[in-house]
Amino acid sequence: MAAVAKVTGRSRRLSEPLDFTHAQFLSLILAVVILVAFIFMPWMWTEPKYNGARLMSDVLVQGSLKNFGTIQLVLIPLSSLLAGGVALWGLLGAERGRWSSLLVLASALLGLFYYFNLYFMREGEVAEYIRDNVGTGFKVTLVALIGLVLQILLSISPLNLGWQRVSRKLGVLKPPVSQKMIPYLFLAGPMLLYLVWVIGPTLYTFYLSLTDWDGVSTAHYVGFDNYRTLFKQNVFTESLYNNVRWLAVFITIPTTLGLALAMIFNTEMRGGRWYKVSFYSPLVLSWPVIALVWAWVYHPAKGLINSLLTEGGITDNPPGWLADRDLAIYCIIAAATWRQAGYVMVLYLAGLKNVDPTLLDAGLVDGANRWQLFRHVIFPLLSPVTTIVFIISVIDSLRSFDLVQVMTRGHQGTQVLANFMYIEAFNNYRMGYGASIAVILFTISIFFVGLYLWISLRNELEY
Amino acid sequence: MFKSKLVLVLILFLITVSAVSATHPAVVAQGPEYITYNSYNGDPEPRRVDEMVVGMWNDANPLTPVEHSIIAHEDFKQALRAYLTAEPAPDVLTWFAGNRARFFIDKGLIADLSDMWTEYGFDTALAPGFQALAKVEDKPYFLPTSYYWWAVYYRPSLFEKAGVTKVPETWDEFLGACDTLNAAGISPITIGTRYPWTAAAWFDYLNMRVNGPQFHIDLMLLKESYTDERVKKTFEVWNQLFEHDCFIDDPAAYAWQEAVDFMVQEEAAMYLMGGFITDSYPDELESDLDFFRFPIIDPAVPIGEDAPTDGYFIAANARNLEGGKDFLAYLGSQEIQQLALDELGRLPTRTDVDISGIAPATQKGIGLVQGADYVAQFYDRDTTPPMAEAGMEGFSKFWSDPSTIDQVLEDLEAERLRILEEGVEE
Amino acid sequence: MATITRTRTQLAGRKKQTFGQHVNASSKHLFLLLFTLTWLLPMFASILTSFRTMDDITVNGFWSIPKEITLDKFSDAWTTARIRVYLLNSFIITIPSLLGMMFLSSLNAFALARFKFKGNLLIYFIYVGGTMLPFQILLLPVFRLTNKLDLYDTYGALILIHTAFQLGFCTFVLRNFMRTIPGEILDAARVDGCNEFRIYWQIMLPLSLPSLAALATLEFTWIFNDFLWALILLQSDSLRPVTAGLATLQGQYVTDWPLITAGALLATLPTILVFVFLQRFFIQGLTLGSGK
Repeated sequence: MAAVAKVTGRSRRLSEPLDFTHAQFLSLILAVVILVAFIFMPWMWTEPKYNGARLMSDVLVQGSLKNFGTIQLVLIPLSSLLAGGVALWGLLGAERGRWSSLLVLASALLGLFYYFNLYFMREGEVAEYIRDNVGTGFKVTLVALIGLVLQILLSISPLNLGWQRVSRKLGVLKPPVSQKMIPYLFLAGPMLLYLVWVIGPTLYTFYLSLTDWDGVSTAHYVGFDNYRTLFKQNVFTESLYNNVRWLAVFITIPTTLGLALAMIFNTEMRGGRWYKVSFYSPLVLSWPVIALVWAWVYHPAKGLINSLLTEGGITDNPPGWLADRDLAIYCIIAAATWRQAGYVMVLYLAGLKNVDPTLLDAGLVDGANRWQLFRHVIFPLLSPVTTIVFIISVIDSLRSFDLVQVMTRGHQGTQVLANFMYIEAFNNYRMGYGASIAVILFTISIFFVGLYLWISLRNELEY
Repeated sequence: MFKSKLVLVLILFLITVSAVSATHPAVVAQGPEYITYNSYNGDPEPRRVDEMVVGMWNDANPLTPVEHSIIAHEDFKQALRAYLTAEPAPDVLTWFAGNRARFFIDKGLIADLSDMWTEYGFDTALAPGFQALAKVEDKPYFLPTSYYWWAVYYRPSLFEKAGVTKVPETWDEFLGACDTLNAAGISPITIGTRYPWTAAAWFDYLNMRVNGPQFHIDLMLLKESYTDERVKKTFEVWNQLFEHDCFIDDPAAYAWQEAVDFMVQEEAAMYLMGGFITDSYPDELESDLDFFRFPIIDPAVPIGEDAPTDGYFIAANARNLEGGKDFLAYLGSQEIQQLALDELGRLPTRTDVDISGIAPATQKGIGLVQGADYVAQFYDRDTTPPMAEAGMEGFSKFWSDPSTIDQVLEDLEAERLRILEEGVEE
Repeated sequence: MATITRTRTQLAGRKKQTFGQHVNASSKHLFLLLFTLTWLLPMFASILTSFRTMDDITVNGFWSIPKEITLDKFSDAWTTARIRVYLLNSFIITIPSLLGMMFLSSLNAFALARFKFKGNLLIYFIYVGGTMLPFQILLLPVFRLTNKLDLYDTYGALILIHTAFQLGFCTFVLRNFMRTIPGEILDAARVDGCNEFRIYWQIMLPLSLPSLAALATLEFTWIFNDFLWALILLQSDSLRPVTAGLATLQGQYVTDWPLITAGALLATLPTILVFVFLQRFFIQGLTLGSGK
């Protein structure tokens, strides 16, 4: 490199390849800036608050289209998306550099065109409204759009080469990023999103649980008061018991059933595929659908079960199912089991595929009967799957919410922790209190998650 | 090489398409000044009227149209809390008068309507009783627009068939009617308690008839204890109904609308319900539907009646406060109240609504309310929301096993003390 | 791939000989058939109900032969009950979330599977742990966050939370898959002077297509079926996805079970179609998720 740099004159300028990486990188960043600025904060720090995400929602919804429509508001971010896409496309293939720069320019000009179109030509109330309420997002967008146009300068050969030399000297934006930094570059974007939407909120829940926040006024630190009240409230114990019941059923019935089904369908048989499909088809139904279907099945006067019982002459006074305080929670769990068994079956079937058939042969040769074979050979081999099934059952039973919410709303003694939290937080405005229930949920589940992680860590280290 | 050309062509195509669509005139640019209105009128009849009212507004005000979301009644009750704390909240919302509105007003979630109150003449148009319901510390927050009565609805034809000759006026007559109906193979009373507020109506009436309205309202305000002997007495009377097997089986499986079916199919004879029962009752059978005052238990105590008031408020976080107020005024106008009266039989809160042409049933309902010594709202409107939540859960427990009553009342008392301690109530 | 399948069939065939010969095949089939039919009874019941009228069911009972078959309830559910709008919303929410999470998680997975660096395992475990936690604990903070960011009651709010939350699971699956891809291919590309991003985009992603397809199928049904977030983060009826829309049907058409079941069937249609046509990927996705 140093040797090349010493050579002077026109000939070198031709021989040295143009490097468009900087232009493309810049374009990519600017495009993302526009997208974020325009979608999330066009009217930031103006009154009334109104952002692009809501606007898009409104524009996309049929009903609102007639009330509110200035298509530029969608086209500006779209053209910047285009610019970003083109930049990425260029970044990926060295030979496309010039084209990509030109196309970014085109998209940016298009964006600018929409922008000026919106400000100077467009008649109507939205346009006027925008002119009167120019927010931060609009300003940022304009600057970034101009930046996108200017990136073409980095593609003009003298400037490009000049910039290459300068950047090489300064060591900024060196195209081959230091080897150590590469994985972090890949991780940065997704990690940021995850941090803001998942990890941050989890920690924030802990903080909230120590306050008396009601969703409106300022929160006060109250120490562990929420937890103390929690253990005094009957509903909490009831919910906890219901979760435990759920768990107890979940780790026994669907697991055994799923395993049995998997054992049956693992051998080739006529129509086996259809049987399997029947059992895992409930998996694609959403919880609200399952809840509605089962609520209809349980309907005491006209539902499937009771009409079978009465019309079949079995009993004249069938149970009330969901209306029966003692039965209701089990009815809900049964509906959940219906879905879960198929899931467990799929997992065991996958596990069985990895069981070495020669072992089975060996077992049969030794004169073991089928039960012994299952008990002493197959089941131990399936133990990794069993562990996973166990953990999934625990987590799923802690997550139970939708069925309860749709079927009984937690009445009839069917309250579970997740629904209890929802009610306390959003119905009674005890957000801090709700958060403390969330923390309890977290504490219980982290134990099992930890178990799972520990197992996978062992696998990782072997790997 | 071919592939990159293809991409190029595609991109150019996209650019031209979007450029063309941009120069195209915008759809209709009317400005973001629309008004959001969330209502709980999910049942078919109220829904029809609600949509009609919004339609009339949108025709008259094309520049500030209303974006209307109808949410099923029970979902709305649950979701309202989130709506109000959200930013922005919907502008105009349906809600109930009493402590149920007070709860949100105290939290500062409801917009002050003082400036529009005189501007639109609500200070003179509303009857004095409703002025009091609208205001907190002399500032209006809630616009009451209609009320209705509660009564025991029944099918005269079924009474006749079973041999109940006299509409029950006293408790003994009522229990007697239940026995006669049972003997004739008709369930005396239908009720749907999937959403347990319907059971609260029974508590309201029994408690008011047994202990009088004053004690009832003190209990609602958490001034009296749930473990009081008098409350226990109310539940003992309630238990008599179970002993006489007065209710249909498995009420907790049904929403209140589903339970109406038992009357329609002549399987049950009576239903303690609000005037809105007619919304879900088949029109062709309405001639065979009548109602009577909840029977008197202790003639010595004054008569209390439930007559809940409904209305509207505006969220403090509303996006379009001014537009919301205009729409609110429209909802409270004489024209709309007249419409609600004619179409749905909801009683008006304005004094200038013409009630000369009303149906005899409505007339009877007004008489019921006017004949009362005290008018309560309803259990979940008179007491605080957390107490109402716990109370109704308690009634449901009692219903499934009346022997647990002592435990239920102890739990309710604990909840009452907890709420008092937290100072939710002033 | 083909060879593996072949061996499996062979093995299964052998198993059948040794394992299945003692079983009385016909009685087993009969039992299985009955059991399966009972298992699917709730589904049949709702399909049947949706073609009838409530009056018919009330008068003649559930098990009677329907007097008339009608499609009215489907058209009612589609237009009057607004399933049409709700379904459109579901797609508007699901598709961008799907694309976003696939892209972001593949970035993550590539870094975690292909590079040795400090905190690799830690980051991986954070993702896996995050996936397994009951997501309800995020409810309050995310509600507050969307309010603060002024995203409440927009499609964006749902898209963001879905993308972020499902990131963990996708990363987990893709990372494990990418580790099974032989390093020689990548090294060869590196020698040719490819930068890492190109290796990711032009080599890794195409090679990961099978697992991406499986993931996409699974995640589609998951996001499509989400109920809780829609309940919390939206208030406008016109923005609701189909799960939340369905839940309100029950409140609005309380006594009209044929309409409710018809609505439920329509709401399930997209996921059913995905399941029917992409069943192999769906099952693969489920088993991928359970680890090795």
